[in-house]
Amino acid sequence: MNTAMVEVNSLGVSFGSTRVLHDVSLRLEAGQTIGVVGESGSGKSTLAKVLVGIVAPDAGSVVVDAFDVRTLGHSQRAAFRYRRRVQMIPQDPFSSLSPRRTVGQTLAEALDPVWANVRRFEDRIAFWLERVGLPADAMNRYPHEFSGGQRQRVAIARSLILEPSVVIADEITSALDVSVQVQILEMIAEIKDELNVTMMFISHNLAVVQSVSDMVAVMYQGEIVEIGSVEQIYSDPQHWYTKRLLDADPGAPGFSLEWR
Amino acid sequence: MASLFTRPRAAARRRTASPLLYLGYGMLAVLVLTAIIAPIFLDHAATTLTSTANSGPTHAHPMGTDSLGRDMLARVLVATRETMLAAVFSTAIAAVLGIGLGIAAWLAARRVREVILRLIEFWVSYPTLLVAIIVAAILGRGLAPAVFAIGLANAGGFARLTANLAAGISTREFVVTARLMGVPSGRIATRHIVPNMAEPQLILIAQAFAGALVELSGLSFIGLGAQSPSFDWGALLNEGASKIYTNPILIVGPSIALVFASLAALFVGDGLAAAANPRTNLRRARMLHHSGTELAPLTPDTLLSVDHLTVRHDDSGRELVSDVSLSIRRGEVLGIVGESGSGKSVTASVVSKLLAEGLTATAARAELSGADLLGRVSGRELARRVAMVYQDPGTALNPALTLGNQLSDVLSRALGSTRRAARQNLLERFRDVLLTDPEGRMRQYPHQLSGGMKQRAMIASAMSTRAELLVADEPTTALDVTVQREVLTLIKRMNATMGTSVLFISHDLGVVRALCDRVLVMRDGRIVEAIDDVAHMTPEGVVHPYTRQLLEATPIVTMPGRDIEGAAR
Amino acid sequence: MSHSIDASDSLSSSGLGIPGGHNAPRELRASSLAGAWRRFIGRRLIGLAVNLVLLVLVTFIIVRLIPGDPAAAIAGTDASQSQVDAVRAELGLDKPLPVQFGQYVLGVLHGDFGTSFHYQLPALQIVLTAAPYTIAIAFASLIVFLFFGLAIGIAVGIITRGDRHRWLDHVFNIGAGLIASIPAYVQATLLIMVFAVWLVWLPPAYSPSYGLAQSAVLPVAALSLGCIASVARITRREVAVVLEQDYMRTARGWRLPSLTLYAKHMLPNVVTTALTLSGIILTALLGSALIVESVFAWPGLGTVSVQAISEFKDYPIIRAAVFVIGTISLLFTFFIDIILGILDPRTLGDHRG
Repeated sequence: MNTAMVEVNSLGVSFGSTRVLHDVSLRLEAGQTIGVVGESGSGKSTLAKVLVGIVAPDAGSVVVDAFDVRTLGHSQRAAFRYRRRVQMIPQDPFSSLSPRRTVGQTLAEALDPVWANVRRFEDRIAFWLERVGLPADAMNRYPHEFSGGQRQRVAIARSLILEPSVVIADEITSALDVSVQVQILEMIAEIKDELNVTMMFISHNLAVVQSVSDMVAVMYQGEIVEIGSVEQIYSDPQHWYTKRLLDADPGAPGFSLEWR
Repeated sequence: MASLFTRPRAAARRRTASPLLYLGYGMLAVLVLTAIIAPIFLDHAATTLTSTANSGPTHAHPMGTDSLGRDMLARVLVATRETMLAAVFSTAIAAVLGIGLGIAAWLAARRVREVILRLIEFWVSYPTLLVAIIVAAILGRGLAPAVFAIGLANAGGFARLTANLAAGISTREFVVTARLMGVPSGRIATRHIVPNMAEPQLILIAQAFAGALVELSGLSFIGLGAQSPSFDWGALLNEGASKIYTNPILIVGPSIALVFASLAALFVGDGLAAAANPRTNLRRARMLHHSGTELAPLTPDTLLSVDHLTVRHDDSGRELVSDVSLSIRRGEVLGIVGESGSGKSVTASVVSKLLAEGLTATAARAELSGADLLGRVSGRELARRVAMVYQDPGTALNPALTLGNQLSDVLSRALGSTRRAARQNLLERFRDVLLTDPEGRMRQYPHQLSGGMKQRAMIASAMSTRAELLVADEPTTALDVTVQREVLTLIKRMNATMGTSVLFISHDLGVVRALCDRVLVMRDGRIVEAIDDVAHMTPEGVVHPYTRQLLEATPIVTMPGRDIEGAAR
Repeated sequence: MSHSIDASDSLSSSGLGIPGGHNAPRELRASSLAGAWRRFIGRRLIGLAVNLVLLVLVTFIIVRLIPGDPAAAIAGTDASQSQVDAVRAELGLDKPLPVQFGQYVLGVLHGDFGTSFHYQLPALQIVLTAAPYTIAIAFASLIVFLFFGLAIGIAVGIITRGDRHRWLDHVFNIGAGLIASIPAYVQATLLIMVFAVWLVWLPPAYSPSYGLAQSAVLPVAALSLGCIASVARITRREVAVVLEQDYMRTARGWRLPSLTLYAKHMLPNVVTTALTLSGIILTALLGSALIVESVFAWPGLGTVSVQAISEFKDYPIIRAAVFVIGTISLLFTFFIDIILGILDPRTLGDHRG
């Protein structure tokens, strides 16, 4: 069955007179993972914000899980439901968890935003903590008792516990050491296959994107300059910017520090 | 403001309450006890008229008596209750009103918030006492209007702090996430915003209490506060001041009481602030020789040699670097690779003789081009030999000085250049690193440049002094990949054309592989492996399991079909 | 007073680097300084105008908010009906509210706050006669506390850097803390005790026969001592913060001589923050001046307004005094912001005030 889980058509976003996104189109089927690469200012984080409904599109259409984000403002209930179907894992594991709340309270809040009763959801919280590789008793501890990698696991558990249809991961490994990064990436790959979740994986690191994605979109100055399957983009890039990005990756064959 | 509530690092969690905080608590306890007990036992002595009026200090009346013969010491002690209660009430009014308004502003719609914030600004831009005078003009004299007036006036400060804190906290990711999860605004305020502003609010409460106490007594002192027959310290001081020529002892009691109370609040406020924002005072860094190890003589092409280096943290005694030896030949690029906490940056700081405070380094030898880094080396000599490029170009340059201004300082230091020569030299180096509009850049402030441009400027500065060694500590970590490549290229070029040796610190094996001649792999303060053939290192070819693990963990793009093309180049 | 100032410790701004690096825009165009100044002055003038309007409103409401019949309350309990009516007429309380307000605003625009009950002279004239006295001691104190506070704070900060001379640190902390916590009016009383009563060097109160300057010494001392201690404490802490910044490490890496290091690379960053906080201190100082004036019978706004409230219930004077004191504190803040703008053009973008 080829249902589109995410369908973006000619999306445009401007902040004042600056154009942040221009004519962005992409289509994701259920269970697919798209990697979005680009440098700072390329608009990749804004794209994520449009999808989770923080930033409203100025032009074009965005339909996620059969829901048009432009109608988010119309009904609070619909918006509430939408936001639980589309989850974002934030970048910084240090600021994404409230220092004054236990891990259990943080996860309970995701399940029940109003009452956030840990006791009621204890089993589910324990299950998901173990699912992301943390002991169940972590729910009684505070974020500062964990390392950066462990906090990122908590943040991942918080977004997955709602069993969303779309997960957006915004630079989730860029604050981590490489040996921690590889563990997180392995876990993500495993979980997303199991849950059949649709994912957008945003990163500045081409190699990271390659390891988790089915498709890749390359963004430059607010536009998708190239989009295609991982194999196609990495073996036969068409756009000059994609080539330049690939050549700038230190592990890439085309990388050199020769003076030109 | 930032330091208090940006990310709560592990260090900020370690509470180290200062002795002053406990002293402050002790003094407050004394005040509270006095406020409770004194009126019970001394009320009679404080209010009964006797015939010994206007007495100086005597055995019976150590602080004299007033014009109606009442014992001044008893009066001061009894007045503690009235003074403290008034200050407590007025602080409570200020805190409740102010915090409520601040939160309301945050919850309100944008337009309303703008208006409230404007009003708060208006409110705090006038002296507290002006507000007090206005209220006194409306409600008349008396302690109750004064309490209300001071509370109202100080509420502005609370409102502003609360609004500022709420604005800061609400942009933090856990609040944004909670909002996305659908948590109602009211719950976000009680669950996330208010608990995370507890520390600064407590500090402000301590300070506002001291302020209220002093201001209330001030109002009583000028006759707008406590009215006879009730009395607080300010009213007593007023009585004393009016007899300053005839019976000066009368001002001693109330003065001491006022200073004691505000000192107590000051200690508590300072102590809380210090506990919330620990600033441990560190001993200056020390670099020492340790003897007893036989050292091989240096070969003539050795630029830097560090042997058996150990760096300890003074307080904990923890070893950050353990028995590390390294050397760099002239014209060589040495990389040190490791993850956070591996000791790579500390090692670099020893080489550049910029060891952080609170650390002690010992080594059998640390020589740079004949100069002993463990001994005294003149600043000029060091400036000429070593140049540095740091990780975060955003903070490494002085925000208050233009590029030309600060970068020419190092030239006049290292080479004794004149202002003009330094400028000329810098302009040429700016061109070398391909900075557009070099003249314009000289006049710009760091915040007007992108990160990549700042890093180029730092490299230009290093080139301008023709340093023998460039110490680069993660210089590209904060940069985009395409910019990273440009910066790495510049470093490589500096090495190739000027013969500058480079000590390159990085967490990225891919970067190190591209740039370095040799690599040391560090973990937990030790060198676990030295790799001489960097270009051909593979997980199979390395010896130490950690190196292998690192190599395998480092993500590398694979480009089927482009490999051949790349190799053909 | 002096304590609320230290709340601003947490405002220490230099801990924040200028945002840059990863998220910095590719290239920020240098906006012209003249344009920044124009916008800054424009914004501040609008702010000033809004504040003046609010002040007029507040001074109008003062009389209206008096509980019960304002005219009766002002005239006093033993006043006859005709006296009450006279007060009512003078304050315009016999007319409908909009008319009252209209007349009041018209009067203010003409500099007319009514006639003083006590002096039988235009209220504004009395207040404007007193204002220069207050401005004089406040301004003198500002200069004194800024100079000594900054100098002491910077010196102590540099001497005790990196835990050098721990004893000085302790002496400074306790000494400055003690002085900062003695209320200005207590200091005033103690200063009179020592210099006027015991040593008889200076007059205990304002007296024209001693000359203005000599009479002003004790009030200025009483006002500025606590502020010196506060500014020194803030500056010392700010020095410690700035010395730990990355750019100071860079400068040390350049092995700059101490003088260049501190005077050129540290000082501008310290002074900006210290001055920002001094604006808050100055506001507090104006407040203490109102009380301290009474101690020295200094014929300034404080004495005039306190007398007007507690002795004469002289509302025209109170209105004019509140208006003038408010305006002075606005102008002082404006003045500090201008200095800040000259020292550090980046502050021109701030949307304060």
